[in-house]
This record gives sequence, C-alpha cells and structure tokens, in this order.
Amino acid sequence: MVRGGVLTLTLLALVAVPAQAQTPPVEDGTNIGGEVGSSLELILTQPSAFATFKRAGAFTASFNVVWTTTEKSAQLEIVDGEASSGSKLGHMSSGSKRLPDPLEARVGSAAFQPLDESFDPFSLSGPFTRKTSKVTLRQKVRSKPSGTYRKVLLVTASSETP
Amino acid sequence: MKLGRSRHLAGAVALAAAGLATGGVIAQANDAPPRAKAAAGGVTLVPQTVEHTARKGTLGSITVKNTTTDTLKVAVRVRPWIQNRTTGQVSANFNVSLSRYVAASASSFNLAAGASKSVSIVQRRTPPGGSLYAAIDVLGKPRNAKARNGIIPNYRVVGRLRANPTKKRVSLRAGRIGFIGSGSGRQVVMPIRNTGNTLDPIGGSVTFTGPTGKTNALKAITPIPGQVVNLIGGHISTFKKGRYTARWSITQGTKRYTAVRTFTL
Repeated sequence: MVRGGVLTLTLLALVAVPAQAQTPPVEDGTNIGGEVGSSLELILTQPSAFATFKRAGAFTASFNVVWTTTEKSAQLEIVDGEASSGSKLGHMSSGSKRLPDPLEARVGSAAFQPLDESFDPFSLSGPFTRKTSKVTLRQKVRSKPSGTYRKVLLVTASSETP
Repeated sequence: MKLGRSRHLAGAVALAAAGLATGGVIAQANDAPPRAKAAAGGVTLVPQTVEHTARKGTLGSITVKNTTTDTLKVAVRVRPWIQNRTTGQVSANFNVSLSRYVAASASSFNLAAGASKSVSIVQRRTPPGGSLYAAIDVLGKPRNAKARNGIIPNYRVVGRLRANPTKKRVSLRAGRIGFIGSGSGRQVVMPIRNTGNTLDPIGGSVTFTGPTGKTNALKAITPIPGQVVNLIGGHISTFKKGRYTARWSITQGTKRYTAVRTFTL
C-alpha cells in the first residue's frame, strides 16, 4: 500500500514539474534576503579517556569542538576548569594525589601546550557555522599510577573584537 | 521493481552513513531541527552582541540554550575586556565583574537538557565616560560533574555588550615613541590611549624624515575607551642610522590629529 502511495506521489510530482517550468520569470526588482541573528555556539563531543592509566607512557585522547560564530573572528581557549593556581593547576588528580606531569592540549596541528601555564588561544576568521576543530589531549605518565583520575576542562569560545 | 527498490535503499543507507561520518548532524526532511550525535552538546548564546545606548534599565536580552544531555549550572556575568596592545584583540578578564554597572537579570540558574532561558542585561548605574564595552560571560557546568572521572568538559561562551554613549566624545592621547621586535622584525610604534567614550577605529599614516624618508599607512586598530594600543609605524631595519622625525597623521572617526615625535637610530 505504501509503495503504491509513493508511486502515485512521484507520478503527480512528475506531472507538476513541467507546469511550474512554464511559468514566465518575473523581474520586478524584488530583493530576496533576510537577516541572520548573531549567535555564538559551542558544542563538544565527550572525551572518554584518562580516568585510569594502566602503564607508564604518553597517552593521547581527542575530542571535537564544533563552533559557530556570526562575527568576523572568534577564538578558542582551553584551560583548567577546577584550579586557577596552586599545585593542582593543569594536573590530573585523584583525591589529594596528582600526576607529576601536567595535562597538555592542542587545537588542530598546533604544538601541545601544558595546561599549568597560560594557553595561547586558537583564532579563526569568521563567520562560520559548525566548524569542527579537533582538540588533542596528551598526558605523560612516568610510572603506573593507582586510582581513577579526573580533570575539569573549561573550553571557551569568544569574540576577538570588542 | 525489486532491483530498483534495492537501489533506492542502498542510496538512502549511503546518505545516512555520510551524514553520520561528517560529524553526526543529521538533516531531516521535515521541519525538525538538525539532531546532533547523542554524546555531543554544548551552549548557545543568541545574540552574540547586545548593543544599545547606555541608560539605566534593560539594555537587551540574551538567550542561553543548553544542547547537552545534562542539566547545566549556568552563570552569566558581565566582565571587562583586556586588550592586546599590538593586535587589538580582546579577551575577557574573568577575575573581575562589572556588576556595579551592568548585570544579568538572572546571574545563576539551572538549565535542563535541551532547555533555553532568556536573560536580560540590565544597566544599574551610568558607567564612567557614559559608555561601556564589555564581555558577556556565560559559563555552563554539568551538575553531575563531581561524580565523574576522566576529562569533564565545562562550556564557556563569551559575547559582547556595547552600551554606546548618548553623546559621543572622540578623544585620544599619544605617548612616547617605542620599538617592538628585533633584527629585521624591528618596528617603530606609538602608544595611543583612547580617552574618549567610543569604539571608533584609529588609523592614518606616518611619515619619516631623516637619513631615510618613508611614508607608511597605519593599520587600523580599535581601542576600548581607557585602553592603550600601539600604532605600528612599520619596519625600520632598512633605515640608515641617524636622527629621525616621525609625523603621525591619525584619524579617529571624523577627527584628525597630528603627533610629531623624534627618535635616533
């Protein structure tokens, strides 16, 4: 029944198309357009790694930042979302323990930046819609740590111009 | 018929697969909005810029939308900009709040998954100079973050507030000449403080007279009222040694200024 319905609709559409094509074009100076409201959007895919480390070594994980701006430029910054100073700044922690090496991050193919220092923002010319930027995280582990670790990452998308 | 139908099906499957492979946003044939992959989400700020003439009361409103699958604890603050002297780029100073002058009608609230909330930006008192250019800081933290391990993302989007003056005052103050960079990248600069209350960009040209003569156009830069930016006069590595006079012809809005400075290389 459904197939028959689809076939009927297709035939009707085929019949309707030539009728529309014969409509003469009208040129009366009408402008077609509209305004798009300004917006800033930040979407992150969930990074699912770095809770535990089973051996020493350098571990990497990545997530995507999908962002939108209607302005001429925008910048992306990744900082520690828990600590703004002190020994835990930029370090993954498990209770009172912390990994000796800081968590590192990079956007795209830029160099890794340790998150216990100020992060050099990543800039993009706009406007753009749902542009994907890959963020790679790297954690160096010197010896196998015990416990489960965590770090709150604060990802910021902002204007570059006042 | 069978062969034709299977071709249609194969095409539909391929299209669906392509949609999933390109970031997981699936466009639908009906009027429903595009649906992101279940694990992805974030915060949307509409509009990015709130602009109004400065006055006590509501300057405008923003809408914050939570597109994650968690309830977010959202904080909205108005913060001052920090401006890079050389590039003119701004970033919000997250350590300072301008709530004395301007604040959000709801500065902290919970926002359920998929929900949105409209927040008014309200001017409490007239800022010094009669204008205010600031950052609208929207911070979203998942409420269940404490129970999670691994990497836990928080979301921050920073929009703009432009409370323009009722009466424009264009004014600037030029400082002493200086130099940035080294070797072939050495450039002459002149710091300029925006002592007015507008966001009018500063541009113009500089003419050097001395052992080497040259005129350079100045790259336009937009200083925030009260902030200092460097006007870059250009490279001087090819200049001969000696005493120079630099005549800076500066324009801001409809005003023109001339600043004459000397320097020795």
